[in-house]
Amino acid sequence: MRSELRPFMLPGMIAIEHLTKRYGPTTGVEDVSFICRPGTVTGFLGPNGAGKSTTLRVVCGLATPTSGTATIDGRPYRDLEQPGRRVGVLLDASAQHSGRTGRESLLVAAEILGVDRRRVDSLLELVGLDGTAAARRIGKYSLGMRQRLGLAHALLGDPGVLVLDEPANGLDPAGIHWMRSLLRGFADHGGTVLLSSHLLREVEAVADQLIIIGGGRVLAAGTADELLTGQGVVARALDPAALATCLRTAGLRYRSQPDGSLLVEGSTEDVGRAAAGASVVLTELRQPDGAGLEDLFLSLTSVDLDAAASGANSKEHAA
Amino acid sequence: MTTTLALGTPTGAATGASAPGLGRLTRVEMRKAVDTRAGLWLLVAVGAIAVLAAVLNATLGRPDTHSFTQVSGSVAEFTSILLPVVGILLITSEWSQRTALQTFTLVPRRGRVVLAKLAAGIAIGLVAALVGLVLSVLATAVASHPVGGHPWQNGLAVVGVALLYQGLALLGGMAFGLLFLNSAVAIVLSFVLPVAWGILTGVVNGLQGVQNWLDLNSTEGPLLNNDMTGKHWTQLLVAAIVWIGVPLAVGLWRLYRKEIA
Repeated sequence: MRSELRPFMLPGMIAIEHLTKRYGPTTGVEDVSFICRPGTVTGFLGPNGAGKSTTLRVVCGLATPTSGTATIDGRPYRDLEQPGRRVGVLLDASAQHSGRTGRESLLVAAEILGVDRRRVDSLLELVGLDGTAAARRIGKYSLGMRQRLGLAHALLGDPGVLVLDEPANGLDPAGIHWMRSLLRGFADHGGTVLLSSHLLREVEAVADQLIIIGGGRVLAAGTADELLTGQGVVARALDPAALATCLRTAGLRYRSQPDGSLLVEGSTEDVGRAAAGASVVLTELRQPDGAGLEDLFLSLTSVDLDAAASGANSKEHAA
Repeated sequence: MTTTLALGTPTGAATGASAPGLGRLTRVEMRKAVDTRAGLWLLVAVGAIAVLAAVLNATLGRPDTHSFTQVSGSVAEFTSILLPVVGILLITSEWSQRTALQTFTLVPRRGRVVLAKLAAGIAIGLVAALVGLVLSVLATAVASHPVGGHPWQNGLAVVGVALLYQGLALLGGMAFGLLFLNSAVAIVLSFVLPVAWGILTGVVNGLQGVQNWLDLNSTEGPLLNNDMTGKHWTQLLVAAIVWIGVPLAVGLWRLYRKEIA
């Protein structure tokens, strides 16, 4: 019925609307809204305890929202007929029976999903856990191996949507690179990916869209470029003092950077015109790079430290 | 590389897949009870106790205690010491090992998962009862009997009693497991609470009449001895509601409201 009310809802779309989850007096997440579209990777970023896991648990029907909705294909997760065939989920790689072998844990899931056993072996091979590793008990796995097994679980039902909580935790750099290309390929073939992380660097390379959350609220959302616009531009001149003077004359606010460049509030055109007018030779004029994004992420999430701490409390409350 | 692409690529082919039925989920739960070393050894231990009980019953005691009724009752009583633990772990290992996260993401209908677990637990209880019965038949056959005795009297009733008794043992374990969702607490309390209740009703005069109705152990006594009257059945039913039905209902109610983390 809901999907009739929402003609814009595409298959494979994750829609979170005004989601609020409270635990007694503490708030897990407050009025969180965003949409993940098919063919894209969404990076869900925030410090520990910001409300990422709470949001993802609601998306996967493990927690009931206090208010608001989270839907996949226009339906709440719990209303999906065979959710494992639509949505691949990895919420906690450590949440596996330590006494079961990796292969057996996949076979159990395959039986629930009605998936061919041969797919279990192909997936073990895909994630690099074939042979002796698959026959070992999960209790003996490293965190990286558990993440790989968890990814195999998520992909088992051949889903169109992936929801992954901190999937890069415990992976070595090569593993992180491997996972990135896998998720990129998944999205490029029309899949929807929602992955969380507390580390910007893990997701900025692969995400089409970033949602930054802190203290249970969405602090910023958009593409990396969109988030950086409004952060100003980086300018560098042969004569930094002359550049500073002409910027002041033009009424542009700026901040000196440790590397000698200036971060100017304005567009590249504003700075270019000001410099040309004063005959200042620019050696660099550009949008801030990833480091700028890092600054943004840190400034957004650290101003909310108090709120983030209360978010962490509510997480303990949930556990 | 082609397999890599095919596996990491959504095909959407399975969009119309239907939810797993209760039968399939029950098979999965039975598989989960035996596919770990701990689960398997627990069942092996139950079997070993049954064998030991059968051997002791066939070799010890007077010949008139070697009837099928008494041997089967004793074997059932011994095996039911550990059998509830099988039921408890069937439920609580999802939380102690945190597999609940995956179980309830794959099957969000929590009641259906619990139903499959109950069905699997009862099936395991019935298998345990059948194994115990086979051992009891062997023990009764090889034991010495008094001249002119009828060791096989009420044979069919004995079979029914063993199935019911072990089914209740498994259900009771699962009810405690569901109520506490914690292996250690559920196991300890499933041993301690009935004993404490038995002592309490024995010591406090006013409670002695209540014991016949609210103590599952004492209400099951006539069942094993095969002398159930109408009143005994009512008492058994009342005790089963208190020790099995109520914890199951409360546990299920809590599970529906709980956040799985």
